[in-house]
Amino acid sequence: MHRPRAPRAWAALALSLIFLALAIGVALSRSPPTVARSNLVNTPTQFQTITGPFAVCQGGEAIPAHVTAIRLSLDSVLGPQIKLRVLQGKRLLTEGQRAAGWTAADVTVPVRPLPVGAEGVSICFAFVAKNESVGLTGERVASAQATGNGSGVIKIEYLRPGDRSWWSLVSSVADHMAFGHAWSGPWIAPALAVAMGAILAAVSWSAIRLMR
Amino acid sequence: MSAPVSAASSPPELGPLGHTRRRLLGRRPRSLLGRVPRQGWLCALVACLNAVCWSFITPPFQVPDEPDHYAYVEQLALTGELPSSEASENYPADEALTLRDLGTYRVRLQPENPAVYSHEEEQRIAQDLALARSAPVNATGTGGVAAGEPPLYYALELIPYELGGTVLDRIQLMRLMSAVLAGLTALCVFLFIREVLPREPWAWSVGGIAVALTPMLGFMSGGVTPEAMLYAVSAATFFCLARTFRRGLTPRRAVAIAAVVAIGLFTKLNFVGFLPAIALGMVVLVKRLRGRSRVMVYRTLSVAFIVIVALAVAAVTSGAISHTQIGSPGASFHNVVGHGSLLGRVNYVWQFFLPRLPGTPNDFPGIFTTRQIWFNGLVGLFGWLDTTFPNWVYDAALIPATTMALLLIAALIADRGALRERAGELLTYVLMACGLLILIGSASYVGFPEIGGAYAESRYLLPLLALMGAAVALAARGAGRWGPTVGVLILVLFLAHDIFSQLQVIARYYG
Repeated sequence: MHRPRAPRAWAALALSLIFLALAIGVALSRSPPTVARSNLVNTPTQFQTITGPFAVCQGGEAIPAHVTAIRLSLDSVLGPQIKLRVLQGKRLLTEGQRAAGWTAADVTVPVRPLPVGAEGVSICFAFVAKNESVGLTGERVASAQATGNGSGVIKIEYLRPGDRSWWSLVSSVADHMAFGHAWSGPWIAPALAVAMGAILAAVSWSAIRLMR
Repeated sequence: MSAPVSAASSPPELGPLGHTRRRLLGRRPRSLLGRVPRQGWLCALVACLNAVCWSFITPPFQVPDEPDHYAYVEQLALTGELPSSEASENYPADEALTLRDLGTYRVRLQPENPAVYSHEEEQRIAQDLALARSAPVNATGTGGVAAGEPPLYYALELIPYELGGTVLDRIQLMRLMSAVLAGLTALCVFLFIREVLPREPWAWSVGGIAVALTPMLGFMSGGVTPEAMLYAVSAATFFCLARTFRRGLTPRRAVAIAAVVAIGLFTKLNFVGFLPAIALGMVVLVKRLRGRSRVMVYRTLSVAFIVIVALAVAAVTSGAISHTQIGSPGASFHNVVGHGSLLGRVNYVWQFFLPRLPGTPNDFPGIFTTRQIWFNGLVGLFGWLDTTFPNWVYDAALIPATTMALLLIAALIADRGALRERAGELLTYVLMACGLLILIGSASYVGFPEIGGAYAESRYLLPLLALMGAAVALAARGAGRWGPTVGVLILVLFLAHDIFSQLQVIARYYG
């Protein structure tokens, strides 16, 4: 039976597991994005459906400092590419784009963060919905107040990294995982950790077997 | 890929036909199971445990179409009858109440909304569940978008359904049943790889565990969905075919293939996509036979064929699969006929999976479907397609994926002689994959051009997990003397992928 030698397999296992542990540590040391501001559309409804090319600027917005992403309430099954610009008058403050292929009731577009916030800005975005429709969700308003050529105001949220890391939120997340399941209780998160530990042990054992 | 083991090297499997009947009747299941290597059971255990974890991580009804699949089972349990063909969301009172209390429609498709978040909400759910349990539940006849699916998986789920008390108990127990099927999937993939790479025992575990840790398998098999059973029966089909290609066609193996085909057809209609290739594979296998064994196998295949047709006729006449509808790829297959031009349809299905050919109309403007739908979907797209990684993760995933693809190509080139010898077998597998893809693409075409990209979900590719596992095992083998080292790295890579996928879903629903 032919079997290749494994000159570095042990080192590969040890190093890759260490790297995995470090990656988890780094990921959990980051802060989850939080909503820095919303344009306060409380009961969003889909007020318009777009097919074909669409471009609009929604004025009267305020973008807080250090915003890393803007969430637009656009609904699509296979969403088109979204190009977004934040303008103050005609001055471009920041911009971003989201590739096509997203699916959800809202789409998050990453943008370059601003060192200071700005008020009285316009959020302009454009897309081409070919063979697809995009729903605009927000609040239906009188045409005089409406967004561009639409009939409502789109719900927009401004996201930036929160103040607390995932590490500091671990107990809170574990508490939330205890809710809304069968046999709810604080045992769920620790049990999952044990189960994943068992999987890690099984994978390591298999890896060691590969080296024999 | 190793050369096929000749018949002479496997005498116990190709004994005289006179022994076949004795083997068929006399071999105990325990001895068959006992011949599965310990590594195979480990793959099954890892897949099952992983899916169990996913079943607790994903909030109830946040797996695609889970409310409809649950409603189907409840309809069967309450009335013993299949749901009506109308895809309505008129769920029974207990399910509707639970959906409301869980805020399912507030959470679904809106990643900014977490799942149940407070003690107050939890207490209200507990009170309502107790109330719903004490009140009689009337069937509404709905199965939602699942109404057109065959009943086998749902019949199996009646067992955990009857064991549970409240809706949440039942759905969790049903999810655990799906998790067991994930274990079966991984086991069958392991056995498939053992058949196609018989001389590389170390590579069996690499492919098997890689599949067991595939996040999308854990996510889907951690939910209530017939896909969980489809993955298992598809992997079993690949295994049965590989075993038969390697060891020869016997009546027993013909019956085994016919059995998995029958189970597949009664699990989810997507399985239909495999049928032409399976038929071709059987032709190739029969042509290899000589003399009496050929007659015997012909007779067995004829009986198997008649049984499958009889089952299908019985199912259709009893209404089990007669009320098919647009809403499931398999079910809608026949609806494609008559819609649009043939060339337009072919072009759409091609572009649904592959880059557009020069001079053809662009049905997916701005989207590189291979990458953005299928690759990214396999890397990570959870919940109701609303839970994603940051964009850079999908870019970074191209590095290991490309590396493994290159190693796979190297392995295939190195083994090109063996590939030629096994051309019929390989062609069968390739055509099985093509059949499934054409089926999905055709179903998607039904809604085109009003809606482009329906069914553009990577979960529909998971019936091909056996091929993916074999590709991963071959990629490790393509590294030559570094094979086990690369195998170790692949295992840890898939483990990392799974862990980070779970963390992403936890962050989305509970963060």
